[in-house]
Amino acid sequence: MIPLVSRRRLLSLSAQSLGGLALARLLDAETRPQLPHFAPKAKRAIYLHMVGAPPQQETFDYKPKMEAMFDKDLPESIRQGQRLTTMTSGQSRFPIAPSIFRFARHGQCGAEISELLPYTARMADDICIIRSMHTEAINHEPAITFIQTGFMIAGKPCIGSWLAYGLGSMNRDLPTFVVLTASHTHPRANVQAISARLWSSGFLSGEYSGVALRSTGDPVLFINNPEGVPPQVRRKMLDGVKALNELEAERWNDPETRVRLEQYEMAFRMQTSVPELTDLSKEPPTVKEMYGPDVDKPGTFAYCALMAQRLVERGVRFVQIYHRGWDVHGNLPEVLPAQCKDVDQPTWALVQDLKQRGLLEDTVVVWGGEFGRTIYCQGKLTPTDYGRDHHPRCFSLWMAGGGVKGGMVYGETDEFSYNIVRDPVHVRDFQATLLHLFGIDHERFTYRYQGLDQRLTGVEKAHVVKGILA
Amino acid sequence: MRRERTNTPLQALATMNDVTFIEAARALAARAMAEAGPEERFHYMSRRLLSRRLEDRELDIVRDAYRAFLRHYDSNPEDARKLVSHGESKPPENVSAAELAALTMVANQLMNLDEVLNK
Repeated sequence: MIPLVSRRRLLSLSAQSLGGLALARLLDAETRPQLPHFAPKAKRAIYLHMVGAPPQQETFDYKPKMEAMFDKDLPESIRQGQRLTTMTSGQSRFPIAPSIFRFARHGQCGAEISELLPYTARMADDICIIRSMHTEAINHEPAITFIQTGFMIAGKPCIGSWLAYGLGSMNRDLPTFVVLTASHTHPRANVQAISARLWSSGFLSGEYSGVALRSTGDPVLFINNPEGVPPQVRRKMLDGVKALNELEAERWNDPETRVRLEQYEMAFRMQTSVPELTDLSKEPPTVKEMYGPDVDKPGTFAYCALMAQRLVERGVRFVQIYHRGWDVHGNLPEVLPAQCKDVDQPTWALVQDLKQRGLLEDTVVVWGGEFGRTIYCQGKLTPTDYGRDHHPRCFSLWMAGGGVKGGMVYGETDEFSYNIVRDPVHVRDFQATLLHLFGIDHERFTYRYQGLDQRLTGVEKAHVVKGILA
Repeated sequence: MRRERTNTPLQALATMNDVTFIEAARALAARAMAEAGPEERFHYMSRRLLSRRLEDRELDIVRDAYRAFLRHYDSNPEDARKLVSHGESKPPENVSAAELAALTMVANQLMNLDEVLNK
């Protein structure tokens, strides 16, 4: 979808005899929602997106009966003619591949968690595992776009942009919505592409787009003035830019000009705030040790997790971390342990760190992928090697903090982890619930565009998952 | 294909601080000094960046900024020398470094206008 808003507004406003600027401000005030709708539990969120889709069978959805079903055919009564991807639809057989990784019960809640996630297991009582997530997309790009924006076709605003638009900034020196892309370590991990479209503000003003920090080298490039340009010279230069852009905004009344004005001022403030943000030298060694040995290496998941904590501590509303490489079509037993190891300890550390700083109670943490994976094997099944294809009908995801009940397992799948048998949670329901935690009624949080009161959850019915609210 | 919108603070930092942009600003300033008289220099740069002359109220803003820059670089010659030395190309030798530095900052200012960056 192409953002046409500036052209449309230009055309409509130039036709008015009134002062365009005053009118534009009036329109802006009219469309800005009055939020929150009710008392929020959460003020900020950190969303850890495992791009590629972690298999629920090896993480949070324990299926002991599958062991005896090794290499047996998936019953048609379970598949029910479901559409498969072309990566496995041509297979002559759909042999069941049980998890080769063990599970144990953890915490007072007794949640079953895989041995691949020992640190996550330690915090079973902090998190709410939803085993009954489901989606409509069967391929990565539409599925990631769907869970991030509520729509499978790119162009709608993502969750972070909606929250930035609706709730605004808590620290004007940093962007309201920050994106981090963490590196993965296994060289044979199957990696999906992601792009800035996923943190786009869509039809909302560009100022609500996510600002992506770099994963290697300096987190922000060109943060320092060039030699010979002291701060007061930069400030004078920017005062002129601002004054000249104001004239431009008066002339054409393109909202993009106003966005640029704001972004230049943000850039100036970031020149001071980012060096402070990224200086980890003052973090106590005890904190860094929690995140693990990679914490000082920019771009690692551990570094990103600590950075996420520092961002929300400084008032950033929404932090998105993408970690890729979870698309285990093959070599699952080899690749998945490395994927889990990348994120397990840092994720645990993040939740504990937030808790220790008193931030977890109003910060939501989300961990999960964009769909699930098939119980049947993709490619050749052996006792030590297998892979799993995409599976939209069920997947596991967890949430913690910010008004979510900890120590809970919600929803259930059948013994094949194929269909949901209790408490299904559609992607839309998850989004409605996330907004609910922020004190937002997803049906009343709208933005008029292309003749429709657009909302994150789309036009179809969505339900807040009341059962997981604290 | 359509290029994604890059109206972000990160883009602002790049076009303000990236050495390539600073070097380009200096080259434009040097050319303006070589080819236009003191009063015409701002228009000269505007014509190359915006395909038009500056309006009077724009000229006031730019001239005011230039004077402030010049005051700084006159009294801080080391800053002037550093600013005009960025990049691989060499600055002209027969001009005042303070004037060139001040005009470089004006070029940097104009090159960061919405009208230059936005299509």
